[in-house]
Amino acid sequence: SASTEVQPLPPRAQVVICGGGIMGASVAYHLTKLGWHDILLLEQGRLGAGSTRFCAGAVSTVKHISIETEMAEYSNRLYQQLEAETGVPTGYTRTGTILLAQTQDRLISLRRMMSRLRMKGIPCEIITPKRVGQLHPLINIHDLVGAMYVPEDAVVSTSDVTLAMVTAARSKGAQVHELTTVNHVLVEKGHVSGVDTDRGQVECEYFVNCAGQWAYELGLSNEEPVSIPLHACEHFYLLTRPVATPLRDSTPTVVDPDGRIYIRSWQGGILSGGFEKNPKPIFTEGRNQLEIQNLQEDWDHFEPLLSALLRRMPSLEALEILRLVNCPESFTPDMRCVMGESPTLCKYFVLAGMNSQGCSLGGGAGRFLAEWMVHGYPQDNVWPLDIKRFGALQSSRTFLRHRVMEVMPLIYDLKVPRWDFQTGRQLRTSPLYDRLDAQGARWMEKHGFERAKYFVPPGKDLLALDQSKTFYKPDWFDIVGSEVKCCKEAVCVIDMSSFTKFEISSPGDQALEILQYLFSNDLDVPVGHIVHTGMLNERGGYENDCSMVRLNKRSFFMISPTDQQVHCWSWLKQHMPSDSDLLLEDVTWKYTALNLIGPRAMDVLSELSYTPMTPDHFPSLFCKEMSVGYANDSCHEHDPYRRAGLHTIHSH
Amino acid sequence: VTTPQRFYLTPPQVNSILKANEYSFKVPEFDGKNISSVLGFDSNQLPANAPIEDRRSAATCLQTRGMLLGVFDGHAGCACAQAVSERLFYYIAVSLLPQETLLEIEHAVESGRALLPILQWHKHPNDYFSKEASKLYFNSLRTYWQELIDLNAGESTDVKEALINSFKRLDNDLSLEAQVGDPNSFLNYWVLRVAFSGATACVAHVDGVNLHVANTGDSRALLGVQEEDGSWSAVTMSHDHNAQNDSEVKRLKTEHPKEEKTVVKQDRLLGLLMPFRAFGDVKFKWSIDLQKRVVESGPDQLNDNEYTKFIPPNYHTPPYLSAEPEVIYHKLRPKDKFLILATDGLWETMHRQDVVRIVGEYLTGVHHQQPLAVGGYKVTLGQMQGLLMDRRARISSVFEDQNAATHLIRHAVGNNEFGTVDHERLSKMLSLPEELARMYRDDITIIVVQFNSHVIGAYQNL
Repeated sequence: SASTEVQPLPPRAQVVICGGGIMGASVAYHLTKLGWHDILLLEQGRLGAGSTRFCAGAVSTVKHISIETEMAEYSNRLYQQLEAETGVPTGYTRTGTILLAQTQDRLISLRRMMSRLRMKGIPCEIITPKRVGQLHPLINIHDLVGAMYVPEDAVVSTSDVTLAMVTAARSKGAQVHELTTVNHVLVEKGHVSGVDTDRGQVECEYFVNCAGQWAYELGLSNEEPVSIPLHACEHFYLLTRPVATPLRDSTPTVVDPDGRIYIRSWQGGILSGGFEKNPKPIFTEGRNQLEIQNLQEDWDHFEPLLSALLRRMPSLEALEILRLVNCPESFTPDMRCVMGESPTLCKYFVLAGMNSQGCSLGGGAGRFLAEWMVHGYPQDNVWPLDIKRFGALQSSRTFLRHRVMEVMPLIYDLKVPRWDFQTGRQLRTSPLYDRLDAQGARWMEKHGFERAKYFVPPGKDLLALDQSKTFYKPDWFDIVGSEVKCCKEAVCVIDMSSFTKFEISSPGDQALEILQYLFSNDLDVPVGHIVHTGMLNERGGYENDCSMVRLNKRSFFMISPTDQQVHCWSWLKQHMPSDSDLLLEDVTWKYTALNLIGPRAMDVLSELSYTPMTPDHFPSLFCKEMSVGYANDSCHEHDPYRRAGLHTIHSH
Repeated sequence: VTTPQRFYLTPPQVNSILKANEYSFKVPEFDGKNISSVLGFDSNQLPANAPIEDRRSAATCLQTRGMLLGVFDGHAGCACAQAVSERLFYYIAVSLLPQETLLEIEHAVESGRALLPILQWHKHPNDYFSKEASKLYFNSLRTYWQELIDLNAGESTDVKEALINSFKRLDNDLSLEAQVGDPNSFLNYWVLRVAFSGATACVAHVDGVNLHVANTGDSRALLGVQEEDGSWSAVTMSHDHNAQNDSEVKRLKTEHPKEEKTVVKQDRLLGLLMPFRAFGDVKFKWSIDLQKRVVESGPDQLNDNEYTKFIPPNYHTPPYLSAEPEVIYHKLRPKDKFLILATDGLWETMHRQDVVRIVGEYLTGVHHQQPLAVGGYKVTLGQMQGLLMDRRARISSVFEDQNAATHLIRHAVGNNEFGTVDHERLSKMLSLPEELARMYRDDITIIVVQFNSHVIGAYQNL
């Protein structure tokens, strides 16, 4: 459908989308649906190539977070009617998905999944191994304890879906140029102003980075770089010749997470790939579009997956191999896609890092992003996918390379509650890290910051990490229980240094004025008082939850959750008048924060300080600078405890 | 499609059999530095005969520089191989000694003083020395060095000459000892068993960058060379002395001009013996008269032995056999990484190129497995899985072995048609009953000497 004649690029467009895969196509399609027509879609190669072309084409609503399920559910409905709408065949076939459980724990995780899907009104059921055998002719059911059946899942030809969406977008005015490479995005005063391509420059108001595996580098190529944390891994699947009795197209797709494989019918034979334990990261050093076309097959690497396949379907042993496809997929640090507006560059949008769910998410993710651009905000809570959940530290190539090697196997790992990533840790630590570690701290990571989860009492051994994964009562449960009891009935100190801390000040009253506008509670309180409040958006929705301290008439101290650092900063910056004398400073690093908590907190503090602690001198929700312990002014800059004097007492 | 089969031995059982005779020696570092061109060696043997007829030896020369390593393949019993493995290195070491050291040793013996140690042996506990014969052996050796003193060869001794002389001298001593006999009936029978059995020998002498290999018979020495691209190639360090070697056949026919039709028959010497050079085997060396006389005057056991009494057919112009070795010299280069000495049990089952590659990959820990590609071939999922499992087993077998010789034996015995170790095959071959084992394989003895490229490189720059 793409024209091979080289048409000149238009001098300007409202929106330039980079990337002619399923994401770029979906964004273009949905923007035109929402009434934006001045859209230019640029593709360095051919439409629907790259990962889109090689993807397995399974559309499944079985996702780990509900927003992704919602996107997939929408994609499924969209793809189903896309052929009728556009006239382009998409290969949509309703197959259903069977997710197999080889263990009781796996069955528990499927039951959890089922309750999430049912909440969204998606039909699904837990079925017996016998029923599995009835649904699929080839499955060996002897080692199964059960399965989940999702009858409405489907398969498509992803590149045909892409072409269908591009066709529809074109019919509504979108322009598409293949063989056009975006070099970098042009920036003016923190806003997108255009793109520089190998065929000249185009002015634009919005830019959308849908460059897939190349999104990371494209993001960094600007004068004002945009961090898009993703990294590619090689992904292998096998194509076979048809089975003796060719499989029907509607044969259910099988996911055997314990064997780390998926199997769908493909042209009478099967297509089977998986997510192995030992992924092969690729393109760490940079891009090469040509490489993606003929990456090497690696049979030795594929052997565990092949063995799992033959264990699941032993009768396939005599089936002839067609080929082994190597199609790199991009993965993100937390197995969720990256979408939304850049925190640093206005009207620079991103939709990438699909963790090999691109086909399922494509329709929905494109719609969510298009709505976000058109309305100025997303129509649902997309915070789990928002690009602002990442900080700069999570964008280094080394970090990403290590982390994606952990993320890819996770796709089929058992997801018990409260697991933590083990790679790319200790990006940020509190000055007290070593002391707490020596006390037996076990750590979790939030926004790259190490935080103590609980302390293992001396002499107590916990299970090894792998064995401690359970859906039942974990072995740390009683430890946490006694720590809570201590907080409730006595006194505890908690290192809360990871929390985001900003200082906002101005020569005049501007600070107070803008904060009164952005926050819901009244911040015009006497100096030293603390207000719990939230930053609201135009629609009265909650953007952020925080505590504000009035340090003096014209200066405020703001404490918000750890993972709000990027989002909160960008929200404040976005709403601050650009010509004011307002000074916004991120002081997270300047303070070590200790939370002294419990009914005996006051007793401890009075032991440590000569400052009177009576309610008259130090009332609730009040802030005061004081000397604690031996910390005094002479060692002021170095001792974290001094600054810890900034103290809030929670009234509840 | 593989049918499920019963494994005769479990992998740990296979390993305990394979590792029973393994031995490793690392040349100790001196002053924190390894100054020897030899890093060390791994050796191992796997019996097929019961008892095994192969022997191995390794020793460091203490009065001269250099290290000696050898494999000995016995036939018609193990007596000759045993005697050669104990004695040959002493003959070589003595041949290499300068005149003053020989004199010093002789004076020490005369005055009953402690002898200078000549060799430091590197022995596996199963490599035994016969205590009973030690006095006899010592006397023969002493006669040899006394002759060397009398000859006063002087000057620097040529290694090649020393090797040839000591091989010939020892064989001569074996022969004489059997003719003279011994008052001790045990020893008398022993020296006859030694002389009437036979042994081939393949011995390496490494001194700095100078490598000499002396070979008598059909054991083989091979140098592993790593090319610049990392690939492995083999340099031959010995020639087999058997019917496959045209110059050997020619030599025999020249030495026995009227017996061209009979001296080599059915690829054997006089239609009987596979190796064309060997120690012992006096049946191919002595005159018929001498043989008859010695056998008749010998102990009853010898007389009862049909094999010993049997005179080879067409036996006209003895001797037909000699222990004279062929010596090949090679100046070591940094790319020469290792030397393999092995008895014909190995070379019957494996090609020299594969041997060098397997050892090379083992020693460097690098496994250049060709990536598999389906290409245009018809391959089923089952076939592919089988192939991949084999490749995987090959990699894991590398890590099972701590000894290059063991690793090589594992391949020699367990390799299937894909060139990968097949546990099923390995367990079948190792669990063969004693009486059957020899039909499927021969004794295998292997020594892998690893060179120190840094030291060799430094020699080169001198």
